[in-house]
Amino acid sequence: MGKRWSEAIAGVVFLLPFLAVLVVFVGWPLVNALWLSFHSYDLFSAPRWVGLENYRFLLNEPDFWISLRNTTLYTLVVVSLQTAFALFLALLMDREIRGKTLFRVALFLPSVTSSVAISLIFMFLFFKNGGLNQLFSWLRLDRLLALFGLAVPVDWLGDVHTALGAIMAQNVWSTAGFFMVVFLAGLQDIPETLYEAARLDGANAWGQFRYVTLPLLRPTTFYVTTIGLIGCFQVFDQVYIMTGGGPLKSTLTIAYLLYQEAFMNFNMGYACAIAFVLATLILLCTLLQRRLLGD
Amino acid sequence: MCGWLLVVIGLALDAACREGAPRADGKVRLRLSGYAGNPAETDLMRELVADFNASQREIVVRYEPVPGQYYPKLLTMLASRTAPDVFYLDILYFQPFLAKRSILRPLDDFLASASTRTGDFVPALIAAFSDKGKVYGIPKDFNTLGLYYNRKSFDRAGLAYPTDRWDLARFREAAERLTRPQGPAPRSGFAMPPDNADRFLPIAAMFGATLYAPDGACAIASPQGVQALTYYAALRRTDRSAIFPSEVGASWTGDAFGRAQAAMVFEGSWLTPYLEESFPRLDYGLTQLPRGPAGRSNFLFTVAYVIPQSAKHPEAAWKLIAYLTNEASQERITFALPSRKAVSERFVAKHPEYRAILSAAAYARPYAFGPRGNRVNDRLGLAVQEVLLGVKPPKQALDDAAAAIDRINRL
Repeated sequence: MGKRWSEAIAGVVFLLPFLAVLVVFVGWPLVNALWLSFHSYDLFSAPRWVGLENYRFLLNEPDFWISLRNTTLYTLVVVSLQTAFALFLALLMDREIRGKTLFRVALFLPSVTSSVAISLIFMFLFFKNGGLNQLFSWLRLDRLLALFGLAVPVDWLGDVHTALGAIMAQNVWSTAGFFMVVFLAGLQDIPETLYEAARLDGANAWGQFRYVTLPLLRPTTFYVTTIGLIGCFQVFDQVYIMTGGGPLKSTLTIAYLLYQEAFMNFNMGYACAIAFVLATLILLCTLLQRRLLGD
Repeated sequence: MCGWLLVVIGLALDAACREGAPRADGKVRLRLSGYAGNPAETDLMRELVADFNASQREIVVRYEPVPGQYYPKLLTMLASRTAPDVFYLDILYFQPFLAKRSILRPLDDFLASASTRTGDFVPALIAAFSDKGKVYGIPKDFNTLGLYYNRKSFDRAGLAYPTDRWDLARFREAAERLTRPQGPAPRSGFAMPPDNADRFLPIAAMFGATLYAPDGACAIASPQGVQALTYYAALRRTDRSAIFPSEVGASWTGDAFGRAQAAMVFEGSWLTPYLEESFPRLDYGLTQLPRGPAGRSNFLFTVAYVIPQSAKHPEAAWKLIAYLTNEASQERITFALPSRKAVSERFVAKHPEYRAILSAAAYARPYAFGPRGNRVNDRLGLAVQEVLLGVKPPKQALDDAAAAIDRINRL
């Protein structure tokens, strides 16, 4: 009895610092934000109880629906592309190729680089007289762009039709390396014997990938898509740096709308309501994903 | 572990921010903050603060310019009671700040006893920072918009330089003739910001449009407003004589002008020190904005020094403001017009190229649109952008904007 108690106390003591931090920096703000979402609060006068008014306002606000549409589109495209791209890279890097370590490092580098720096560099690529247009005209592909109804040379970040896509491309590029490493770890976990057995049964490369690699990577895929989804739903810094939500709100995301309301317009209660809607959305999507991919 | 470190750092920062009591040397410590705009301005501020500190035995001022998003940072500091003792306040934000009752401190008690007399300043500037007979800020300097033009471009096109007798029709024609879209060095007649209302609003007023009707409802969608936006958008969409800075890799319209990619821009005199520093060989002139069908119009862009109610040493803060806005300090301004009447007249006598900026001050109105003026301004910018990008016709864009602005003002 005495030993068990002392062990329990030791455990609590060891946990205490982390629990305290969790409560102070996560738990308390969370509860406070929920409480504030039922108030009208501008940081200066005392919070005023408004019940569900913030949520009702939100549902009638065109900007919210625009941001929801943009964010959903962004998440769908980026999560599927970055997952596929990362898996592709991981399969490549899993082979015995020359300079493998160098490639792995090069591909991983974007994920340890500041997203602000990456955004600034991509802005130069996306300018009307920037690198991307020069590449297109060098490849003589600019006519192709014109076929899509774009004014060539394209002002990628200034055109309503391309701005969100430009940010998507940047994000896929900068996150694929990180998820590649996760997939690589997953690939190492698949026993070689399974591939041997498959080969004995006459499976070709595609068969091995389809019936051995993919199913056994499922937990990894679940992790990658979940983390990707959470990141995408919260996309903010790229939008802030590259477009500021424009042109014409075509890159307005939920997180950016939240920032605008909280720190430009100082509608703290309303911003908290947006935050909770966003959190609920992420939770629902993750649950749905677990249904589809989980074990 | 990392978490505890955060807590410790947080407590240390908190302690560092509590600067109530005088330190061991008995001096009152003040913080002065403003946005870090152009380098000429931040350099002058540093010098002025150093000189002020040298002249004072009881006060030490620290100058903390804010790069990037100034107002979000300032409002966050005000809300967390860590605001500077004296800070810049743009005219567009004066009424929004005043609407939050607890922020700004009236300065009348100081003005009554001090050597600073409001009568020495350009009257419109003092009026712009006053409410119900109380003065809340001492303007540090001001600007209006002028028409900057590139002499070489005009010579090449065989056009006479603009004068202050130009009207909007003449301006439009010149912009078109100055535009050379093809060739090794393509150039345009005019550069406009893609998402901003502050070049459109003077034109709207030149057509006779007003932002608000006498009853306070938004009246920008009047026939005159629609005419003005049609004119403004035609520069780009019909004549193809106006570019956005980003299209030529420029960071703002003044930058596009400096690179000689636009022959004309509407800018305040903040452009002059920028051109001298970045494009010293550019040959340019400056004159008043053209006239419209309803006459002249312009806006006053100005910034004042204000003291928040939370300042612990308002007397010391006032001493700083009085020093920064006295005649000797104002004589040293190079990037805008000094807010003191006498000094700005001497300034223009010495630098006649700024005459256009000062002349416009006679009829310019403050760039301010009420207690939610910053949001109104953003919404107008969106309407301008909708038309410039061809998403909506002018009438519909302004109707939508007027409805949205009424909603913003009713919130």
